[in-house]
Amino acid sequence: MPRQKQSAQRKNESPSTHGTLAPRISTSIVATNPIPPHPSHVVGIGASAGGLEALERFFDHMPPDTGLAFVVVPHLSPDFKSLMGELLAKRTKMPVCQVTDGVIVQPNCIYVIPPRKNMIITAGRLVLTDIESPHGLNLPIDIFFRSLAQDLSDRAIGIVLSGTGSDGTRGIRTIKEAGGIVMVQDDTTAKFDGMPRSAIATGLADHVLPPEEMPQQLLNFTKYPAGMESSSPVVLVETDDKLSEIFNLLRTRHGLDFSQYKPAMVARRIERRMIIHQADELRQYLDLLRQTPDESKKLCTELLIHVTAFFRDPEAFTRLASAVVGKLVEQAAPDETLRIWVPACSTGEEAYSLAMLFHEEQERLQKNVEVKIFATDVDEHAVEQAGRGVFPASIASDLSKDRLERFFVKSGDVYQFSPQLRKSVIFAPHNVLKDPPFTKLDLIACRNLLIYLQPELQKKLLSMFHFALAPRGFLFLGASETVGDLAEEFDSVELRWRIYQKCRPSRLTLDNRSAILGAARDISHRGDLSLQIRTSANESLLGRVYETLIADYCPPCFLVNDKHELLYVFGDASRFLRVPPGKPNQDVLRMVGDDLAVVLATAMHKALAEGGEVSYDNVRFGETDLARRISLRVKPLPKRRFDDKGGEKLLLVLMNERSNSEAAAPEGNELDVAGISTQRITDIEQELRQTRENLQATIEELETSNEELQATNEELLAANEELQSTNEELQSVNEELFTVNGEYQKKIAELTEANNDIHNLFRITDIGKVFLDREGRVRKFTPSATAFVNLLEHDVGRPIEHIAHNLVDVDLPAAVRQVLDEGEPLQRDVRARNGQWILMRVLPYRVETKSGEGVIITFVDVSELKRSEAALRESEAKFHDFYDNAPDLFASLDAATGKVVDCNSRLAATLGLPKADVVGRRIFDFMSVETAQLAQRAFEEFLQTGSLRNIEHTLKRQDGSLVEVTLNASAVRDERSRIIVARAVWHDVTDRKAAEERIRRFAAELEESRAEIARQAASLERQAAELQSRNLELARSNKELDDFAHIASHDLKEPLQSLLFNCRFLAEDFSSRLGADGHARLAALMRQAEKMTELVDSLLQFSRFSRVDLNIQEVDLGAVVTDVIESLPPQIAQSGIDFRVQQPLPTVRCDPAISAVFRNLITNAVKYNDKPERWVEIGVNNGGTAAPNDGHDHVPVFFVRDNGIGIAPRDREKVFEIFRRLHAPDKFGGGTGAGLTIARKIVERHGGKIWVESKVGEGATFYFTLKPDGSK
Amino acid sequence: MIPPANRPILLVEDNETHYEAMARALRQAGCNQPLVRCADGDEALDYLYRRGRFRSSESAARPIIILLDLNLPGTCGQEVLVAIKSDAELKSIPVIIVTSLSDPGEVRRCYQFGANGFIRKRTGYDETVVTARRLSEYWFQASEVPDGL
Repeated sequence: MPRQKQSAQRKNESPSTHGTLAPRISTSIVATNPIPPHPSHVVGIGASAGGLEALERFFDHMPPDTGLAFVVVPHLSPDFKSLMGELLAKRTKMPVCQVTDGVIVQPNCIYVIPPRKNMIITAGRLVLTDIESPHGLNLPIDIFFRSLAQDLSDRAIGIVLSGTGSDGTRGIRTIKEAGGIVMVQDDTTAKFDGMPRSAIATGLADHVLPPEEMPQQLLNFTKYPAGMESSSPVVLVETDDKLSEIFNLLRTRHGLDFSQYKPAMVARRIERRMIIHQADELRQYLDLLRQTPDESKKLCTELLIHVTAFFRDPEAFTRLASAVVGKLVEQAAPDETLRIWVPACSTGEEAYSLAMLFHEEQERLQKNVEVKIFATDVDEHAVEQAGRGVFPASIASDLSKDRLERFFVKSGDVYQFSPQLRKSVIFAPHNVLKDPPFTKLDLIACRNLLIYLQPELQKKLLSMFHFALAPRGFLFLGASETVGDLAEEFDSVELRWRIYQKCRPSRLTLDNRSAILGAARDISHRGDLSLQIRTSANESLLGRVYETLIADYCPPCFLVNDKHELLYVFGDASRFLRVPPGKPNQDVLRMVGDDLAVVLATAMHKALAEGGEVSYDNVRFGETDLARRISLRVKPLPKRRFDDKGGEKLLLVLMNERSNSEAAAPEGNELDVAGISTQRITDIEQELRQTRENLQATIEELETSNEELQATNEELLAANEELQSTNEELQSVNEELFTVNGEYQKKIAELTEANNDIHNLFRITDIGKVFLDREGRVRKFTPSATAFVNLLEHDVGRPIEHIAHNLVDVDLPAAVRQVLDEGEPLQRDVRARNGQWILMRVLPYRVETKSGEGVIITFVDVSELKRSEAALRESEAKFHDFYDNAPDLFASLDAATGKVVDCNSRLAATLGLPKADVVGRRIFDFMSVETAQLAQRAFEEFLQTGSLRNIEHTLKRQDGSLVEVTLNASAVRDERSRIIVARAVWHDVTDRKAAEERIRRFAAELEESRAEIARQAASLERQAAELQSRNLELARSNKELDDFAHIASHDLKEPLQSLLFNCRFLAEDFSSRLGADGHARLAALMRQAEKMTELVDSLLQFSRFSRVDLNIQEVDLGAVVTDVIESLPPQIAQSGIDFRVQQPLPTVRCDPAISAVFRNLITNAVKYNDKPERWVEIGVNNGGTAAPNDGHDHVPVFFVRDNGIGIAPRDREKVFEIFRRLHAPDKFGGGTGAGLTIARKIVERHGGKIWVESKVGEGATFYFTLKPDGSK
Repeated sequence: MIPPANRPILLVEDNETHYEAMARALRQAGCNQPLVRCADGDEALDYLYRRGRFRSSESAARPIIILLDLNLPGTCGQEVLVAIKSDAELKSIPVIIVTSLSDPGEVRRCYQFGANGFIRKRTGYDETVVTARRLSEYWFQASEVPDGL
């Protein structure tokens, strides 16, 4: 790359003593990093009307990997969605995104401001704020550029593209101040040149280019190494030839002298210009400057940029207000004017700040003083801008709210300084280094100017300020500036904030002043003669020798210029010179006295006119006798070769006094003063004549030129008028443009709306549409069309022949051709492959009335319609079936006439007429005369109400018989809700009437039977009540019986026991006395008593089971049976019985008293058995099968079976009766006869049942259940 | 201090025959302790607290065990039991309930009140003899009883 090669070269040739900028450049070669985490520069691009095209051209030429970030700030309409992002995305590979609040700026990205937002960049983030009034004046580009300058300083790049207005102009100023780069679109390439022109007019643009050339320049700059560096100090030799040449150039061209500016600052800014122009050496740049006046102008502007703000260093201003402003206002005499000078005022903020301070102090002290603030700057643009007094909204941050409200008027987005106060500030262009100062000033505020200047110039400037200040006037400097060497001349009022007061009323010496002015005027001509003469602080030895020699040997002699001003006096001239009364001046002729003056004047005139030496000898001097004679020589001083012709001519006047001896010389030798005078008069008259002639000529010339000027003036006036009218025209054109613009906006809105409408229409109608151009190529289609034609997004532009479709038997291309050729629409019902019915229409696309421009194919799914049609037909048929075959009579009657419009066949049949004879006749014709009258009234009523309900009347048949009918009618109304047709329905109620009569009879009979039933029911109820009371009685007596049995058995037991005990006692105590017979009787007695006890026990047990509540629990019947068998009385168990117990027996929920059931049954089975091989079988469900009796298989049926004597059928119930025994007491082991009764009691208490089956002699089986059978 | 062999068995039994049957059965079972009969609860308490006709300690020696019928006229057996077992001095005397009632709740209640035994009154004389033998064997041979006061 050539660029890198150059850098390398520079690196090699870099001796620091050399006057080039090479050393700095060598330290800062930029590494070409892949992609830095932060953009190397942020490019802010402002654009408005016509800006899109410019942006596209810009990004077309911008490579995507520059490491730069681009922030695009176009003027967007607040009311429309911006497509800027999408449009730009087509032109670049860089990602384009609409800014979201707080997004971090990345390199190689493009950011676009969203509508209705203002944007600033801070700490590398883009921050959005809402625009306060969307339609008011808003300057988003300025706002963004300002923040860009603040955030990125010299890494900020501002670009202003096409647009109207002046947005961006203020922004680029801040970018330049921060050291950034500004590019502006060449106004000839811009569609709208307002913004570019305004920006170019500032003179701050580094480049004015067409947009497509900007990227290259931008990259040159951003990749140029030195562009990155700004901190290393520049060593510039002050006397560098090239630099001074530059200064000379600027001075001669623009009258601005920068040689006394701080070299570092000057060098930095010159260097920046060099970078922009890619000048490697100062020499190249100098050449450039010489060739392009524009560049020198730009350089001046760049050098003159200053930063200023309202109340910069607020503390300083606070101190100033109290220490200076207040004092000045307080001490001012009533008619005095306070004069303040703000040199280098830039855009006027400081001057306005002072105006505010003075106003505030006046208010505080309630004293009205006239204040004049002179605000000057060398930059005319700045002065002009300052004069407008318009400031951006951002100043709100520098000013207190109070001041902002008091001194500023907000208009739109800008602040206008108060007009009243504005009058006290006078702005004027003024070069403080060149132009004479203002005088008698009370305050000079010159802040942050001195820092740019070299110490020498600072000193001079301060002297000038000193001169300009009134006695005790104040000086206000910047925070880092001091009065330096002039400290003695100023009292420090506020050291910290650099407020000084002139301490002596005197002015500085003339020498000093002229030195300042001279130096300022002609700084480079330091070697000139006229200045060389002035007293030098460092006199040379030779000078001192000259002085002595002159004093001793030289006659009095003085230096005079062509205006007769005395410039210097050599030797003692006191004899010749005296100070005349009146105001002293330099005129030598007034100082030498009247007699000598004439001679001297003549001599000088002659010397000047002739250019040679003039000498008069023996001039008499003095009127008295003491008159002396002198010789007078006037000698023009030779010119130096470099003295230009405009320089003043100097004369040396030598006065040599003659000695007294010489004075006594002959009279003839005496200078004839009178002659000289005459000669002098003649000369003067001659000169006067000449002068008159000259004057005449001049006057004539002047008159001529005056006339010319007048003519020119008239022309100018005319031109001016023309211009004014042109201006007016332009204004009206502008108005028009505004209107047209507004209309366009409205049109666009309408179009957008129409477009949306169409889109929505397409979407909601769900009608497939395909638009074809005149060649039959697909132009556009709706999504619903894809169901019928296989179209994809990229098929747009393909001929319809290429597109497959899903329609059966349709030649789509042919249809299209036909319509294109004939221009007639085509319509067909077609079937889609999926069975849908489609109404396909091929229509010519018309523009105005011209067809053949293309074709529209529409597909409407009419399957539903087809289905509906079919359904309608079916429904119609159905209706007719019902209508004609219904049992009721239907007719539609004309409301006006009562004529039958239509009727069903049933009506005709009922009336006994063909349908044709019924239709057309009045319905009243089919009634008897009386009925017809009633019906007519009903019909009239119907015409009012629109409805008839259940009107009973009769219709007359053709044969004269009557039909009983009820009539219902409803109305059919027209759109004005008048009744036009009556729909009448008659129901034949002849049969119903008969039925009703029958029902009435039945009802009467029914009523009678019902009364009878009620009577019987009453008697039944009585009987039921009786039964219930009887039942209660029974229950009560049953309970009593139970209780009785219990108490009786218990009370019976005691005496029995006592009886038995006493029998034993008797047997023991009277054994011997009883004898055998007695013992036998006693034994019988005891047997009976024991028998009695058993009976009572059984009774007690039985009554207990009746009384006690069941204690239901899980009972293992297997264990119960085993226990029962084991605890059988020995006399029974001994007899060797085969107990066959089914295994296993279930566990059931019951009272443990169940053991008594098994005990009684098993005991009986064992006892009543006369077989030699006795067995007892115990089990459940007949050993697995159901019981013989049906209906018990749902609950377990237990059984105890034996092979004993059996029970005769007649006894099978008796065995369960209490105390009932079937055998003699001593047979089969005896018993109480209560066992089975107790068993039955227990079973029944569980809700179960017990029964026996038996064959006499073969055995018996007792069955029982323990719960009610669920099936019963 | 009366030697244990001379301390009486107190039988609280209203039924004369029952008393006699038990007395005979005890003798027949070989028990030679003196027997004292109180016919109802009040009398039993008079005896134990040496009140009324039992005022002197000679006529009311502390029993070695008490056989108490529950079904008594007047103060019932259960009340007598509670009185004995609530008295610091008397409660160490074993009380054996002898009754013909056999409600299971009754058995539990008696033990809760501090009864030391519960015997079903047998209906036959032979069974009564068996019971008396077992009682005698248990209380006078198998176990120790506290000293009388």
